[in-house]
Amino acid sequence: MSEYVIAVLLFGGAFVLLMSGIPIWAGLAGISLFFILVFSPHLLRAVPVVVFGSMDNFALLAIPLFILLSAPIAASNASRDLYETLHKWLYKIPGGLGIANVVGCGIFAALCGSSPATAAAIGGIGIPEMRKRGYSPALAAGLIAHAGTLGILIPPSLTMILYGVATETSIGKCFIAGVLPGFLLILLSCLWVGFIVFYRKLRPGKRRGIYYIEDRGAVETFTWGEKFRSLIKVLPFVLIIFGIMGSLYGGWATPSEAAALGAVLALIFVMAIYRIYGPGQLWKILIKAMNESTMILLIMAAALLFAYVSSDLYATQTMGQLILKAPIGKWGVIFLINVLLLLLGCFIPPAAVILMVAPLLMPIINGLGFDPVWFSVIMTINLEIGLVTPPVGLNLYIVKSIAPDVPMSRVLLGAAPFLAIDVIVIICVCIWPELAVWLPNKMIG
Amino acid sequence: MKNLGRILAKIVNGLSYVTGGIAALALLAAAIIITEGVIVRKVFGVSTIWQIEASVYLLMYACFVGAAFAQMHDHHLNVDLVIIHLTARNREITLILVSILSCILCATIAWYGWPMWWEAFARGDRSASLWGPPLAVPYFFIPFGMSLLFFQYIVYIANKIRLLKQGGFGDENIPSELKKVDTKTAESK
Repeated sequence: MSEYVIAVLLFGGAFVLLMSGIPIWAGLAGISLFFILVFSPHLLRAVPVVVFGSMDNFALLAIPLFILLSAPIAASNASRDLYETLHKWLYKIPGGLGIANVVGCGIFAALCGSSPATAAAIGGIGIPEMRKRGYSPALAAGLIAHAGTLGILIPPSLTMILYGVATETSIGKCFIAGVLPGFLLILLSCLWVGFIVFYRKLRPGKRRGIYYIEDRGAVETFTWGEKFRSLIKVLPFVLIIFGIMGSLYGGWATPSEAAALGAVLALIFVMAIYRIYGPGQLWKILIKAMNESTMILLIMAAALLFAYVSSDLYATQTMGQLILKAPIGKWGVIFLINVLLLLLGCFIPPAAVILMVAPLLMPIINGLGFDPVWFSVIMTINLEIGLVTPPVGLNLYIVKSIAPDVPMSRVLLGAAPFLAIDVIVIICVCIWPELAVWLPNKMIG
Repeated sequence: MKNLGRILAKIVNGLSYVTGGIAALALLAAAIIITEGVIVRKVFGVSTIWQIEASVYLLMYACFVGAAFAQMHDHHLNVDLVIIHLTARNREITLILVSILSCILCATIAWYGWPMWWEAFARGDRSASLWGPPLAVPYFFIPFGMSLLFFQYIVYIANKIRLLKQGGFGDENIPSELKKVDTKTAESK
């Protein structure tokens, strides 16, 4: 059988099997075992050794430990305090409340590496607040659905860790590469919110328009004393963020070590400040972190087995050669990869897309002379878009569960301009690769 | 016979609960061990010997043995894009079929995993590091976890079939990754 047929059968088979609703880890491991059984049955005995070897990796610990870091913070009222502080500082700018939401998501994203968790934590408070103050449901919901996706771009990010492990790229570099594009995304989103609110105050929109801002005439003022007192509450978490970033960028801790330190600190802070120290409460946090970790780690183990099999059968190499030979130039390939990622991102959760596709794409990216660190940013922003598009846009479901009365079409319309901002950032990163690679090269070298 | 099935299900669930609880503690232990390692290395300038290896083994425990606990609460992520459009009955049947597939998969990995553990145990293999713990300990996690997951799947499938016969289906229309995000608490905040 030719290598092309095997490659198509392997990847096609994995896709079909996953669509059947089988747990992702079982789908990936199942198709791998099946191909081993058919093409090289003598390797069957070695499967547990391969699985063991792929998990015997200190870098992988960053995944459960960053989950452990965010679990106690998500269980506390930290997101509410963060949100109130930002509101007190930003209320005078046009669209200050919306901007507070975007920035709040950005900061929360720096504490946890998951997009749905970010959208749920900030949106749970932010969407009702924005609607109370006259923001249209579409704008409020769309804004949170998009800003939540910052969770996987701004470090620490679970998808970047998975990418780093799957492609053997420096996780620290991938983390830092996400910082500037993340800032750019936040900045552009804030500008857009500020613009729409400013414009709507000049020319009030219709009640049923998509973007109306109703001025409820609620005059709020905060004294400087209140502003500074609110800062104290978020200080410990800002310290954790700076601790993680500082130790990573200073080069004296690996991502896994930074995550462990952060997790221990976060637990201590939450116990001390939010008084969550009942055994029942702590148990719930630990169990939640464990469930999520084991789910992702098992997918990781299966995906590494899948990568092993597809490289053993030359499927990865064959597909890579096929694409490299295509007469469309290197930017044509990047364009096609972007389309592929967007499509996959619409159907499959980001973690699974990265694990399935990254090892396959890596020879292509290297063959074309692109920087894998640069590509990690492109890939992540693509998957961010997938989180806000149906049918498997997780953030859409989160927003829907916070504001069930807003129709999905309205949420999508509200999110559309933000998706355009995502595309602009992807194009910017393609035109100026320095946006992604300058900072990591300067800091880690 | 029915009672026997119920007792067996209880034993499997109990075992998953205990091992899952230990897995949660293993994660916490890994965080503490690594933190200790960093402090010892940075503050006291002593080189660390066992911390990294020990924490990797704890990770493996959490990954493979914790899997049964996650399965007990139906926490394993799947792509439900297609199956949510099926009728409730067909969806349940599909889920049972893929669970049987997963079950066979666990059995296969466990089948080849036990000899790997036994060889390491009988030969007294040790890790090649300075610390050199017996390899039988981490090797044990894969077959043990997969066997536990195998039994957990059997309980899960038996439950599903019983429900299907009674004509009652669980409302499975929640997108699977949402199960892990607690939207209820987000609303009430």
